Amino acid sequence: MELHHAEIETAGLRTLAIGLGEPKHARHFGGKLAPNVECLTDEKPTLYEAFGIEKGNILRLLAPDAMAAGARAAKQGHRQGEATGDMQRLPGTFIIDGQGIVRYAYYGKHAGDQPDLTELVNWWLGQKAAA
Amino acid sequence: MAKANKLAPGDVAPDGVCLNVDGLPVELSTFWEKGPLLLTFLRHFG
Repeated sequence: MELHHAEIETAGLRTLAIGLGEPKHARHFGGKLAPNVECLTDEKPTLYEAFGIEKGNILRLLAPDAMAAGARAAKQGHRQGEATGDMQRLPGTFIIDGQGIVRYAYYGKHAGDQPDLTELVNWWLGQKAAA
Repeated sequence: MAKANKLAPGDVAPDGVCLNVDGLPVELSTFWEKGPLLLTFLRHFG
């Protein structure tokens, strides 16, 4: 998300990341890896459950596509730091409009399963143009 | 493992309270009220 910050912002979207852990972890993560992304914590994790974000079973987390995604991230220079929260929790990405309506929802099937943000931004721009 | 109720386009986004980096509670809706929001749930910080 940090790498795509400029194009996301140009498309009229604000960026927000919610993670598991304590506020100090969010502060460290945001300051070090995502200075342009606002970070919040949901320790319970009430919002993860409200948004329908599941835990993956251990076999799913170690599936070949999950391992390949990890290798791609490592190749791009991403490194796993000290983990906080729940390693079994899967990722999720949403676009919510100004009225609080979900316009896009993507549920990661494994640990590294994220939508292509360039494609997502282009899709959003198309939605705006058609509105 | 129970299946979660997943959201789909057109659904009302759930609101709730998170903590910001200073440990202060903030309502999620205060973010989308300022404009469309790209929201990512991370697996963890790290």
